[in-house]
Amino acid sequence: MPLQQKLVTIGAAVLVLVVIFELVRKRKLREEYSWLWLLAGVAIGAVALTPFRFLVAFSSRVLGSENPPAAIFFLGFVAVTLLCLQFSVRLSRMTEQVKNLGQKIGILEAQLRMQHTLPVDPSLEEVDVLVEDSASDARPLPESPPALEDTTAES
Amino acid sequence: MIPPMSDPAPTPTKRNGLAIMPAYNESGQITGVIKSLRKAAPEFDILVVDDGSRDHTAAEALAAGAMVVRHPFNMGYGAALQTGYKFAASSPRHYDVLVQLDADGQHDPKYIYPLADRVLSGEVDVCVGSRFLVGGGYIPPFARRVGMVLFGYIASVVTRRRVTDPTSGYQALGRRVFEYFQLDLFPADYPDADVLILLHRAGFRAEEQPVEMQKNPIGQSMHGGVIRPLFYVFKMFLSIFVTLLREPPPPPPSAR
Repeated sequence: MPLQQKLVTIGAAVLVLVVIFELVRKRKLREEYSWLWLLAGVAIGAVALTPFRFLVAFSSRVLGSENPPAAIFFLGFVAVTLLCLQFSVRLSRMTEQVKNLGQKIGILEAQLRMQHTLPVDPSLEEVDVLVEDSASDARPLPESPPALEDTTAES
Repeated sequence: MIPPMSDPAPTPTKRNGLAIMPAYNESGQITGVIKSLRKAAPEFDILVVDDGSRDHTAAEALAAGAMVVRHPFNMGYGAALQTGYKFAASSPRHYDVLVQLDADGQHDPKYIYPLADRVLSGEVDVCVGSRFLVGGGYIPPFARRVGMVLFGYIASVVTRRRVTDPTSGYQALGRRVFEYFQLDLFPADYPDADVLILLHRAGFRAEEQPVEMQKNPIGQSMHGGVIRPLFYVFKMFLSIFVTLLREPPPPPPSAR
């Protein structure tokens, strides 16, 4: 590996590591996510360092590649793809959690409004008649509101 | 319980039901829809699930006398339906039956009782209103019809009953069903043939009854554009496929 390429690679690895530590320090990246990125930075650096040269040769031999750099690119690409997949999974789970939270907030808000314990929401005041009209036709709730016990039991 | 007013002795067949309407930016129409619904089904409570509308849908629905649950942001038609199911299941009124219909006036409310009564009779758990069992009425555009026929056919084969209108949002659900639908696997976008198949595999009984539907007066369809129909077909195939692959979670016991 030419010296210039080596320097660029090590420089890139150091940059990645510094940025990650800085993000964690500023609490923009949670520690639990940072280890993967730190690993990525270390891996970039390892490619350039002589003691780890055998990894490049070894991986290209295993993959049957005649071109060692191509093998490295391939492995890196696979790793990044898996990482993205992992994020998609997390994102799906969070979407579900946010949906459940939004639903629960809406229902709790409606239950409070029906028990007249919720301060009037200014965004609902744009239509004047709402308070007296909304109460008149609905059947009254039982005196003791069992709604809260119900919600906890159900969910 | 305090009786609301001097009610005549409740008939033994008094329906303890809730009508739910997912609504998104339905300001201007929602009042009329609620009024006609109240006239057609006076025994039912009405819940409007406002899916994060940016207009006065929630305020107008409250003013028209409906109960309103508001999503803090837009989450999709299926999520709004599920909010209604969760509301009904946790309500102190112990609804026996729930009828869902669209807030845009597409569904004629005179079918609420016929659909609900099928469920209350105990013969079925779900009664879906199909627009294709009666002649005439609104026929959706060709591209959409192809999807309906295709997925209706697949659902018919899997559930071994005739499914003519898998996309119908006009349905009556028994208590066990809307308790079951609180599971996270209920789709947040558009429940379709995949949900019918899920119900069948979980052991619920479903059927179709004829209803009339009008064309959406605004004309904005959920399957508009070019990308969305393609995505819909892809998503439905995938959804049906994985629904068939996974073991359905068992329904809750039939006791209330």
